[in-house]
Amino acid sequence: MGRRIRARTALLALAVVAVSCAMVGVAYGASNHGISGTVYSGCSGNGPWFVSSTARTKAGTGAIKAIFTDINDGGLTFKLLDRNNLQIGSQQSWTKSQINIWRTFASSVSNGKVFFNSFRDTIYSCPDSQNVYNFTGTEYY
Amino acid sequence: MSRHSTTTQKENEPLRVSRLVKVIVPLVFVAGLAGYFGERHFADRGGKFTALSLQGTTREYRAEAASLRLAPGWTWPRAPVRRTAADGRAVRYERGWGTQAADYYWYCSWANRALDRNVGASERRDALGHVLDIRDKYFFKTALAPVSKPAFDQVLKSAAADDLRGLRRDYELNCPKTPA
Repeated sequence: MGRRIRARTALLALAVVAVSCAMVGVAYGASNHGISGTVYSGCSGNGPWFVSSTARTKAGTGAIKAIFTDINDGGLTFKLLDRNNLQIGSQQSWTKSQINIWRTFASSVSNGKVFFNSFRDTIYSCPDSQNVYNFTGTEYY
Repeated sequence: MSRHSTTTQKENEPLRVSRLVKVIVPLVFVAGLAGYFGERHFADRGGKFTALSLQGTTREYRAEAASLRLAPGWTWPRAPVRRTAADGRAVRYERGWGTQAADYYWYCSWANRALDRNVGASERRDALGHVLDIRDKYFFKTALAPVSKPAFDQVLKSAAADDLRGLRRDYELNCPKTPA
């Protein structure tokens, strides 16, 4: 009887730990998030970087990467900045035709690290002959 | 005399209005042109590029900073908005970047004090109160991505319950290493 109770208690404890781990995994694990934006198309600043004001935090230590389904005509150059405006990992570029290709900015970013997306038109010129300045994709963080 | 004055005043009114119209109409026109080209200067052709000028971002930062009191020993950075990237290109920030940056710097100043073991217990509790007030700021309410809110909120909840490990980690990961 005592052994049965101890076994049940052990199983219950195991179940609680498993559920807790699963919940933590759901709440704080990295996942895909939709992103979209518009590159600068004016005639100032030699094709400046645009810095998003959305603060994102890395969920779980690991990679941050992105993939795009629609890319602006001039191609997209994309990077991540930390809270102190320092670049995280390396910048990545996609030409207009390079859709559905994952590129990794950094392979090991700490859980809880705040970052901001920053991007620009890769072949910026002024005036240009581009028509599409928007992009749409997915960011994994 | 009085009647004459009144008459003169009445006669002059249309003239004044006319002068005002002559002054205001061109002003409105010029302002409109400035607004149109100013907006286009930092707008994409679809009107979705929402970057501010550097001055605009700095104004945002300073305006938010003016509403916040830093922890003792901290001062606001002289140049809070970086003008150029490492590759020499100019940088333009989305509307709101300056506001959230000021909020977070303020939060860092109080987090530093709340975590400082050389500070008295009551001062640390007071500092923690400021830290928790970040929930009322633009950074938490608007700039922080919805998907990132639960984790940061958990850091704050744990800190409120005297578990400062998450706050310490957040401070070490994201705050400036020394007061500006």
